[in-house]
Amino acid sequence: MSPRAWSATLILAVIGAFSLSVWLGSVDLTIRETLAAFTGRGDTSIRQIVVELRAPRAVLAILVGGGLALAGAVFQALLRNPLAEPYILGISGGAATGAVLALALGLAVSHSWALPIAAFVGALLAITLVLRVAAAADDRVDVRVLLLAGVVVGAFFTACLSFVLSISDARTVRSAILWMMGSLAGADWVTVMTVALYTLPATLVLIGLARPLNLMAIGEETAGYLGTNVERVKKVAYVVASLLTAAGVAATGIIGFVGLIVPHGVRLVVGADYRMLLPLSFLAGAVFLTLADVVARTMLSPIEVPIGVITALVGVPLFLLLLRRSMGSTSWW
Amino acid sequence: MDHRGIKAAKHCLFATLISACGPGGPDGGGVSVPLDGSGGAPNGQPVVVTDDAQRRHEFVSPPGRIVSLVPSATETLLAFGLGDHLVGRTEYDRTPELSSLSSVGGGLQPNLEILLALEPDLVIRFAGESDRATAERLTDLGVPHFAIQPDGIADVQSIIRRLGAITGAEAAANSLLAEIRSALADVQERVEGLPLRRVAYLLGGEPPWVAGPGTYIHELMILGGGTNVFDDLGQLYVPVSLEELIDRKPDLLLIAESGSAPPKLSSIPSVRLPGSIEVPGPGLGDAAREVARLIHPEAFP
Repeated sequence: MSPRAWSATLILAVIGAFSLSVWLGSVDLTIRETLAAFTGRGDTSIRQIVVELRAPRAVLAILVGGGLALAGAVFQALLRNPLAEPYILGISGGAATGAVLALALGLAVSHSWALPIAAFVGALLAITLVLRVAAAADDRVDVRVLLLAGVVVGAFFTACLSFVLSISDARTVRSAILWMMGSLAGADWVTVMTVALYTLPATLVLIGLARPLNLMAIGEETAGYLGTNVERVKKVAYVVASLLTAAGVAATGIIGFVGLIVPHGVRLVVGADYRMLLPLSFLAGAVFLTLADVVARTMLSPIEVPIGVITALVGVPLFLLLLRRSMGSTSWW
Repeated sequence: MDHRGIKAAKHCLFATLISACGPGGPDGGGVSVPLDGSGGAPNGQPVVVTDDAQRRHEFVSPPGRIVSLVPSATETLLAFGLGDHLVGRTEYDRTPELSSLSSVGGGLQPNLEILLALEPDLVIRFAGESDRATAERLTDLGVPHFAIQPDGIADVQSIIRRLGAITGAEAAANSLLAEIRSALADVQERVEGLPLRRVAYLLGGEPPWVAGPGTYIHELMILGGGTNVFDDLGQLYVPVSLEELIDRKPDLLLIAESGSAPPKLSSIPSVRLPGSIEVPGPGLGDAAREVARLIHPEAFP
């Protein structure tokens, strides 16, 4: 299939995943009832289920899944490391520490917006710290130092997190663990709008970096000779991809595997040209997380399975299959 | 997260289940019912009741479609004979009487889709921070919700009184309360003057989680003529080292239904509690008697 055909297919798949997501759930609805709910007709409780519960959830899954996959692809390019994923540079640790502090100090009780804001601030703190360390020596960002700084800052925040948890009461620990497993259950339209406010501009900026990232894949020096402002690209890519991740984490907690597996899967199918890889990763991530959420909601209904479990259970075998099929035929980098 | 964290979460999950959640006032909120005690509805006088999230509710008529997310409240409504007013249940409600109803999942983070589809005119939920999101979503969706916090003996009685007022079942509530009061008085009388026995309650886990003051089981131990060797804990449930446990020299270990006595402590007498005791609900009288009997078998010949 040509890249254009892939794009068209994936856009249709996003629409399909959204439709499935508003149609399927714990409560059985007919297609007619689902459509009626969107036009404001039909039973009130069905309308609330479709428009207030399922639709914002589906849109949030599209935004966060797409954002995580795109950020993962950018981090893999930036760090030139196949193990890179959106949380590798300490964002999850920073966000989780912020969230748990908000829970432990009881802020999350009095103000419902305190937890996402605290998570976002924690992520920003981690991002800033990592960048300051990586650019400390001179103004150039060495990606190896960036990676090392990210992992170390992440470890530090994880230690803070464990410390706060160890002196917290059982209720805080429970809420914190649930938050860290990630969930789309909190999706409402305000959350969706806030996340969209970050995700859409960040996505455009990152996709705009595709050409310089292509050049930098050959080598930073070569890219520099060819007219790329390498330092600027690295900083913009790092900061924007991190903000994108931070917005997602604040809204849904930590959802693993999407940012690691989806970009690799897309790379195995369409190759390493970032002009295709970045937008297709966004679309594939959106489809993947939306469908994973449908499974998470319906598999053991009425109980919801943590979505991170589904992304791993479904994503890993799918990825291994792709990996095996392409072995030998595609060079990795 | 490492294994320890997840293990801890599992225990907490259980701890929350037993103790309900969130701080909430022990005062229990108030009820103001018209003096004629008619339950308000017939003469149009609304019943005004405060819930454990300190919110005021006005009931013009008793709700007819109730979903209780709190198992002890479910038991209370069943004890009132209002089973036909319940339109949903949680996974923790095992009563055969309710098995035909749709389950909304757990009592915390219930499945909102199913809950909405049941079209309840009252949802009874846990007060407190563990599930603030559900409360907010219910408010947004226009579903009335009443928060309760069945943490201690006084809370249980206050909840029975308020649920009775809301549902127009004052008579049933009053006779249940009278029954509980006489059971508690009987227990108190039997253990009075007996030497206090040192007791610890073990929820299970490794290291074991124990109950501190503020828990229902703590109050039952005190009432039953015991002292909680962990009455200085600042939190409801805490994991403690075996050393600490031995050092506190308990005479008796009460083991939760789901837990087990640590093999290294086999020198200390231990007894497993039936699960029904651990739910702070209408079974309070029986629970108090059972715990007291385990602590002072000599008082219950």
